Amino acid sequence: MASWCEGMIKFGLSLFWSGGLLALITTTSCGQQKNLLVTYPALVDTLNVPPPKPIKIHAYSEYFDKQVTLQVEEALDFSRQVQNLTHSRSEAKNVDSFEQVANSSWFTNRNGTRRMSPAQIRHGPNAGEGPDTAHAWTITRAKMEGVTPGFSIRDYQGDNYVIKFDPLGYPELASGAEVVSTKLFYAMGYNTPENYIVYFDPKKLQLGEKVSFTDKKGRKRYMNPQDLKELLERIEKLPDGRIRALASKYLDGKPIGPFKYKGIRKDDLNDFIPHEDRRELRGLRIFAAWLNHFDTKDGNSLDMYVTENEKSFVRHYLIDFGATLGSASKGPNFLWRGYQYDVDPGVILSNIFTLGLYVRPWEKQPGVIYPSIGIFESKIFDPMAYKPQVPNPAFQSMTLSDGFWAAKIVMSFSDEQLEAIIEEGQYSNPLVESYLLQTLKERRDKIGRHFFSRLSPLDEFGLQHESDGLLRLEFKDLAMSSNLDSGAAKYRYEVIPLAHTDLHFEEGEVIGDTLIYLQNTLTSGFSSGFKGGDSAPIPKLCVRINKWAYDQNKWMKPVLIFINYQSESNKFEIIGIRRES
Amino acid sequence: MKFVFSFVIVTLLQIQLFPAEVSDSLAQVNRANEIRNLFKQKSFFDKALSVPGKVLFFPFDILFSGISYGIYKVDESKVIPKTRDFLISEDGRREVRPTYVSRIGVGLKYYQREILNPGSRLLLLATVGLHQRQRYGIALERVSLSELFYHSNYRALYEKLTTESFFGIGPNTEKNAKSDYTREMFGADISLGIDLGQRFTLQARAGFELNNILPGRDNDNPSITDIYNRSDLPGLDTQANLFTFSLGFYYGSLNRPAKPSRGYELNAVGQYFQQVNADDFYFLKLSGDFRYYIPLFYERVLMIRFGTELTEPLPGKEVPFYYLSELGEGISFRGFERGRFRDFDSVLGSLEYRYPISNKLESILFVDAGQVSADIFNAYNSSNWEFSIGTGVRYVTKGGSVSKIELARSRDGFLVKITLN
Repeated sequence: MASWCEGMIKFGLSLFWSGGLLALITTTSCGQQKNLLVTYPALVDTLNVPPPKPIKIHAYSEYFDKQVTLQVEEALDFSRQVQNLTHSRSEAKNVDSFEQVANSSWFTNRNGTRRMSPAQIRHGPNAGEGPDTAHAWTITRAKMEGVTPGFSIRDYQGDNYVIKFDPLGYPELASGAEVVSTKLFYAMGYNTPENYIVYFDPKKLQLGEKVSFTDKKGRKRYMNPQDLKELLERIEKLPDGRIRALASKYLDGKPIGPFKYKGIRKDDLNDFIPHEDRRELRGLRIFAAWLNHFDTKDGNSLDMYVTENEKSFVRHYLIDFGATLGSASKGPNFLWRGYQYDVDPGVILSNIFTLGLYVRPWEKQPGVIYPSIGIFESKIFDPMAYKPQVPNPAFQSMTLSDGFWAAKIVMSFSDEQLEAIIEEGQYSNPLVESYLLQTLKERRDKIGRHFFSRLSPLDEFGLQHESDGLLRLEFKDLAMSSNLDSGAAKYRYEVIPLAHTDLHFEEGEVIGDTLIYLQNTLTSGFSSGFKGGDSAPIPKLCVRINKWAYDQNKWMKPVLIFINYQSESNKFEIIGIRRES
Repeated sequence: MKFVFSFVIVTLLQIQLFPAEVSDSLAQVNRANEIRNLFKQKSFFDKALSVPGKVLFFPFDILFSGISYGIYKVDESKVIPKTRDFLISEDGRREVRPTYVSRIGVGLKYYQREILNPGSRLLLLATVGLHQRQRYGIALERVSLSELFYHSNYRALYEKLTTESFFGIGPNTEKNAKSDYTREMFGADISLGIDLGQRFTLQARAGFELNNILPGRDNDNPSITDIYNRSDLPGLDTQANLFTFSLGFYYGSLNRPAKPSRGYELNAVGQYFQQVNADDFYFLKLSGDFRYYIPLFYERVLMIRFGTELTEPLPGKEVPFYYLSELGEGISFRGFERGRFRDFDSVLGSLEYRYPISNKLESILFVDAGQVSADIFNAYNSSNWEFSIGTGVRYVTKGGSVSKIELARSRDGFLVKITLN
């Protein structure tokens, strides 16, 4: 019964489908027929579709929905509670047979699959050089509400930008964080705006005609020179009178409002997968934890209806990274941000009942070390303890596999790449740069250590046909390659025929090497045992590899490599992998 | 079986739902719906488990959707900043602000700032509550007499408190001996203050007040006038017109006013009262309130409080019963009603442990102890101490105002108090 239930929960079929249909893979757990894994087809979501209706999300009602409605709904979803209790949450539905996410209107594989060059990583999403500061800027829109004012401008080239400023007393805080995080999120694979740090002379600002704005009293009216003067008075100036700001270029296409982290946009005919079931949105939790991006509300996303190659579709962007790293946009981050929700009933109740005698780790943080950084540290950072400002349904659905996927991307950033990105933040104090680099590196490594010790860190499998008839299975140990593990790693492998049970199992151990040679007799037995002609690639062979965890003194859970035999070419090929959790 | 099922679906999708280019919008919609259904698939087990929760959530869903829509509409309409704009003048000097006082009720305050000098203000106040409780006042505050540190206040106040509680006089009164009365008072005073730095303030005040005690309006209790007469209770059936003079000082070293975690504050006032329309009431009052905040660890704070009020009639004279020293909720002896204990002298001690439970919320645990006595020095009786214990939650806003809810247990039972600052 138990195995039936497990089978029900984990039931499945592996499909890889891109641009219509590419492949169909059926995978079964090595040696056990009970685990039939399903992954859903990766669909092309950039087909020509009619424009969806623009939507608005209001910050306060979203706050209520996430903080109250969603929490009650989740608490009453007994199916979900059972999944949480049994650690059997359903896996993301846009994952291919290699546990990867296909390129889509949401995500493009970048540094995680091929390391970007220093120039590429510095450039990030930028297509140009930012606004033209040599000529006048015309203000087209303005915002006086809130602590940090801002406005939109059109430069001499006719390009439109949103201009945002650092909070008084904290130069470089929000603008630096926004640019660094933009480059990182872009390199991870997300769609982001072009964000530039600019230094401009306020005298070059011109008030456009009929610039409507909502003043701090909630009245909609046209901006006048006095308003502009008041706005500029609230902005920090450099000694030479110039202002440092963040210029965010208007995105191409027509804005149709934010995307939601739950459900789908029904009138977007390319939107099929519930957003909370998208791996890139679930895994965003780990990226957000790395960069302390606590403000991951719907409102900090934007859908644009774009036209490319004569096709119109919706592209999904992450925007507004001013509240990342140690910044809270309006000032330095609060100590507790990133560790608990704004209203966190669990934390409140446990604090009440422990009478405050338990001091939470975040309470012991030293506070602001550099005004340009705010509150950002790595000593107490725990990737799984991270919580955004308000609950995020996609984050709450994250599984270990989603986290592992994200951790692989986080670990793909080299020290040199991070250094290059931090330089783009244009911090005036070199100590700030080195502190930020060190903190990002330490947080990155904590993420890697967490996930690479819970799921097998073996990846990037390759199969070579040796001249002597042997099959050589190569792989990469991510923990070793990222220096999280050292010494001679030990691996144990089993080669299991899936269809021909009369063939013998092959076992062995490898120490200090990431190569496995599959025996000739087995492979030749296989090739003679299959006639080919199958319409879909069905795995014929499964290699199960465990890594010895020295710190835990036991074998880690295995990774299964599914191999198919192509009788036409007399070749074996890897058609999928699965990490057991 | 599942494999076969999935294979069939996928094959169907492959054949029918993925032509090279979908141009027909209806076909697009159908295709989208078909694919969405595929991704929505749940096992029977999951579906069955979800049903009870969905049924339970249904009424919440309607309620929450309504609230969320309400929040959206309020935000969209900008009614809050517009109302604030309506109530506050363009230059920010004039402002109307709604107010709530638990003892009186709801009302409005009107401020006109910087009326004579920077920092000065005119205040008009009108509040009304149940049982015709009401308070009206006018005040001219912080008028500078010197550019350095003198300031003066001018106030006039009329109030009618129609359900004031009275439990008798002395330490051993009982809860069920409750009666009530109406106190009508008109007063006017002038005060002179000297700010000696931010921590130290001296203030002298002179004033005049008219007091009348009338039958109470709370139908649940007998009126004080039906139980007592003037000879039992000085101040009853007598209009007391009193001249008052007081001298006080405040010294504080708190690190932050709304949520102190370190420092102390001392408030001490000496008052003299003299009846001007008769020769019955001449008395002195001396009150002191000391609070000491001890930081324990990481925002956990222990607050120690000691307060006392001593009332002393001049030889051969009396004190109106409503000017006796009181202990009860209003005077912060939590767990007992306002005016629960009344006598010439009172002492109060309090220990309060505050610890954070959320970013703006802190929880408190407290023990209060106090007693009233006819003469705390010469007739002190250790068996007269009353105690209460309790807990509560405080909410401190960015602006520094504090709202709290406290639950206290005393020999009178449990009492909940909500304070909106």
